[in-house]
Parts: sequence; C-alpha cells; structure tokens
Amino acid sequence: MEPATLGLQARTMATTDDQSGPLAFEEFFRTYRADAVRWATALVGSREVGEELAQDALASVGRKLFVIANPGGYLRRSIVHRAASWHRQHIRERARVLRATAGQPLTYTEPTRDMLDALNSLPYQQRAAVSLRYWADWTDDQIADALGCAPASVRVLLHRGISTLKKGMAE
Amino acid sequence: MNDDQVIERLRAALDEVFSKEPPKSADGDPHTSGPGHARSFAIAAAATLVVAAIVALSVHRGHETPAADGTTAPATSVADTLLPSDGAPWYALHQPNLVAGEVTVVRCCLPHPAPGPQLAMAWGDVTGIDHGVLLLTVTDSDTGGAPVLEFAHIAMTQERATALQQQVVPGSGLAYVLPDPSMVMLGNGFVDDGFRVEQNYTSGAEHVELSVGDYRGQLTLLAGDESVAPTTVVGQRGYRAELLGVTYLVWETPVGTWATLAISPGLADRVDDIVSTLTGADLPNEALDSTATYQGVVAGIIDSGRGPMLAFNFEESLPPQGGSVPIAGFDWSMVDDEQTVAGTTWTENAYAVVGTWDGTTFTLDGPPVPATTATFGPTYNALTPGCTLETMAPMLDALGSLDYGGLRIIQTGDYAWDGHCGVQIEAMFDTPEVRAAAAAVGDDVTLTFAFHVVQP
Repeated sequence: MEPATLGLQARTMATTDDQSGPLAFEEFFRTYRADAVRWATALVGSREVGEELAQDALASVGRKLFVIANPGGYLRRSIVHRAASWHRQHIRERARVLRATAGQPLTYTEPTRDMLDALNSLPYQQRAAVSLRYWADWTDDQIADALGCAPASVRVLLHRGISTLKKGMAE
Repeated sequence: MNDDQVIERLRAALDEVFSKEPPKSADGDPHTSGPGHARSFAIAAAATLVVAAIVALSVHRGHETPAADGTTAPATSVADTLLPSDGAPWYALHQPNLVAGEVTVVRCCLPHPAPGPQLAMAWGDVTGIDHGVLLLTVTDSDTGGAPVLEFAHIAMTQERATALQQQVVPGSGLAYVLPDPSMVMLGNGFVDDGFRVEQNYTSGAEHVELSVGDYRGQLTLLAGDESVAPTTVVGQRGYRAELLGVTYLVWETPVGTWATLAISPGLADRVDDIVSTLTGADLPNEALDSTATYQGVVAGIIDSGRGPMLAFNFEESLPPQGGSVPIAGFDWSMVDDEQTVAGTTWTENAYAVVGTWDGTTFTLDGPPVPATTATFGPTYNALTPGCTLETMAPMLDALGSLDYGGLRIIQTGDYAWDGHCGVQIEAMFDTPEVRAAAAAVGDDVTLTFAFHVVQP
C-alpha cells in the first residue's frame, strides 16, 4: 500500500520528529473519550448530544494539552461549562431536546422520561451535581472544581437536587 | 420514595439514556460502535491536526505576522471566520522570467446577501486524499426551508461516495460531520470567502496566481473535471486539473491551510517547471503601526461597567470576568448573542475584529464577526527536552519581570511535563520591543500575537 499522505496517520508521523504532541493527544483522547461521553451525557440527558459535547471538549483540550497541568480536571470543567452553555441555548426548546439526533427522537421508557423531565426542572448546578455524583461517580471535590464552588456547596446542591427530584417523582 | 430510591431511579434513567444507540448506528457495544464513536475518529483527527499545526509552526518561529498590503472588504456578514495561525506557511516561486508582485492579504468576510454564504466542507480518505475526497456544499434556503446539500467527490467510486453521503449528519461544533472512520475532515469554510494571502507572478500577459489561506471550496472547483489528477507540490499531496486552459493545483499545507496555484494558459507548457521551482518561504514581519488596520480574534466582548472591552480570556464565573482593551465604534446592536447578568454584559461567541489601535483604544472598522473557529490560550512550539520547572527558574524569573502593560502582553505561561519545558508569551501586537523582550527571556520562547496587520 502506498504510504499515507494527508490522513491522520501521516499527520501524526509528520510531527513526531519535533515532539510528541499529536501522540500525547491521541493518548489523552483514548484515555478520556469514553468517560467524557458519559459525563456529557449525564449533564444533557442525551447520548447523541453528549457525544458531540464530549468531542468538542476533547478537541478543545487537545489544543491546550501542553499548557494545562491537569488535563482531566480541565476536561471535566470544559464539559460542565459546555453543557451549561448548551442548556442556555436550548432552554426554550427542551421539548426538542433530541433535535440533534438528526430528527429521529429516541424512545425512552416512561420512568426514564419522567426522570429526564425532573432533571430538566432542576437548576443547572443541582442537575450537574446529582448526575455527576450519583451516576458518573465524581467526587464532591471534582464536582466543586468543575462548578467553581466549595465542596460543602456541592453537598448542598446534592441535597436540594435530590429533594426536588423526590418531590417530582412523588407527583 | 426515599433518597436512595430517587438515586436508583436516576441511575436507571441515565443508564438507559447512555445505552441507547444514537440514530443510524450499527449494532454493538455502545462504547465502541455507532456514529458517535466513528465521528470521534474524525474529531480526533481534526484535533490532532490542530496539534500537528501547532507543532509544525515551530519551524516558522519569528515570522508570525504576515505582510499586508491588499484589499479588504467590509465585514458586513455574520459568518464564521477562520483566521490563519501564527507562522502561516508561504511559498515562493523561483522563475527568473516571472516577475513577483506584491504579497496581499485578503480577509474575510464578503457581504453575503440572502440566503447567506455557501458552506464548503471536505473530507479525505485517512490514507491520503488521493484515495478519495468527499465534498459538500450547503446553501441555506431563501424560503426558510431546509438547507440544500450538494455532494461531489474526487477519486472515489460513486457507490462509496453515496455510502459516505448517507452518513453525513448535522453536528454541533461543526455544521455537518461525517462519522466514518475511513474519512477525516480536510476543510470547512465558506465558498470563495475567507482569509488568504495572495501573490501574482507575471510574464507579459501571462501570470501565475498563488494563494494560501482558509479552505473555501478549492477542491470543489476540481470535482467532476475529467482532467483532475493527484499530484505532489512542495512535498504535499494535492490535486491538479486543467480548467478552461488554466492549470489549477490545490494542496493542503503542513498546518492545514490550503494553497492554490493557478497558471494561465500561455504557460501551460511550463507547468511542471514552474511547480518544481516552488519552495516554502516565510512571510515578512510588520512592525506595529498606529495607522495600520489590524485584525484579530478575541474570546468575546464584555462590559462590566467600564465600557465595552475586548476580552482575550474569560473567567468562567457568572457573570464572566474579563476584558482588558477598550474599544470604540462598538455598540451592542452589532451583536445578537449578548447576555446581561448583575450589570455585566458579554457576548457568548468569540469575535473577529478589525480596526486601528492608538495605543490605548481599539477602534473598530466595522461590526465584529462571530468566530467560532478561533483558538485561544497559549501553545508551545519549542519544547525543550530534559528539563523541569526547576531548571527553567531563570526563564521564569525573566518572565515575571516583563513589562506586561507597556508591551501589551496578554498572557504568559510556562509548561513542564514529561521532561519537556516551554515558555510562552502572547502579546497583542508584533513589535520589535516584544520580540526583544522575548529574546531576553530565553531561546525557546514561543511568541504569539493576537492581532495581525491587514492594511498598513
């Protein structure tokens, strides 16, 4: 086979003489990609949108990989902020939350639809806290870092979030 | 229902959401298959390209600012802009009987009457563009309907092109994505629009036109022509075709910008000779000029009570904090994405701005243009091996003693990881003073500039 020229492989090989930048990114991508999708999905309630947000965040971190001391933490913050931005932009069209799925809404079971509706009713910080803590298994410190608040505040967010969800489920 | 039961319901719901295959996906483990996973390769490739571009820029250190002496068009359209990275590669033609003209810089964005600019995207086979290119142009409907998508292809069968077309879906970061692991995105821009640097070489009535800049549908120009054939230009793979007697060569530069060479019909018998004398070159620098027109991309515009300012970084608080350069000629009606919280108004998008600088205030020449493709933050081109932050101490001391205000330094940074170190200085303008200050810090300083001259 003719050697790769302008594809991904060639781009990687063409730069490895100077430093390991692209390879470092690929390693970072492989390490965090699955988690990133999971985290973003937790925050937006859509796997498809989560994939998009995660990939945008991974690409963003890739551009800054050499200047950030804690890529994982940076990625967490990036995803949390991107999801917040996504919610801001879609706040008036949550009923069309699955528009990004190329016009093919997914069908969830009724309990899941109810839970997603309840999550959508939460303020973003509460939603992020409960989803990341109880489903994505982030620590309080990790959530605090990503949300820019104290760990004690995270516990308040968790308490309020779960209480609101409980009321929503009871109705 | 108690707390534990709520948490259990939450987990079950998100499990279900996460396990749902995205539309049009193949069967299999959602962690390893489906369009999202496939798309990730494309995104990874694109991001890798960005990193590769950053690395490739290291060979062009010291030549970050393009010369500018050209036409400009009013930035009246609301469109994405893809500005050239620092150290954009350039080429020189060495033909004694072809007279080199001036290097000109043409910035985006042309006015685009309804239905607006036509989007051009290109994807190439991961094994090389000579193994297949899929091209897409998108035109917004002038009646408010769905955008019109038109596909074309080079060097692939109609069957493969059709199969790939059917996988193209709307994206969030990009307008469209092709989630196929055999393809990687090559270009994304607006047809016949975007930043480019150009130079003409003439010999009587004959001429050669060289252009390097954004992807703006250059490959689409060649699609469908029977004469199109893969070629190599200055070590880069590209395509060549003869269109109405004009020989066109299109190739991707090592940093992901696109170059074209158009050779007039009267020089057709010298095409190979002309191409063989094309070499890489550096663009000259431009010193800061108070009468010059500058272009740059900022993270946003913010007014926190001190008047509108350009922000190169935002603190992601609510409201965000930032803004360091006062701007004139701006009002909030020029943008439509501003938000106001607690007395602070800011834009959601990054913006490309064009204007003049009097040493204190940046005066806009026209409305800011949303720039979703901007890259912010320091990057490190010259990483010194075998060092740590401790061994970098002298450089860090020098970095800390810089005259940040006087030199209009936006930010500095240092990096030490895995046995490699780097120091970075990002300044607003490319001036001899900034370069001297950077040289005094050390040999391996990465120097970047936020603004470039577009009209001296």
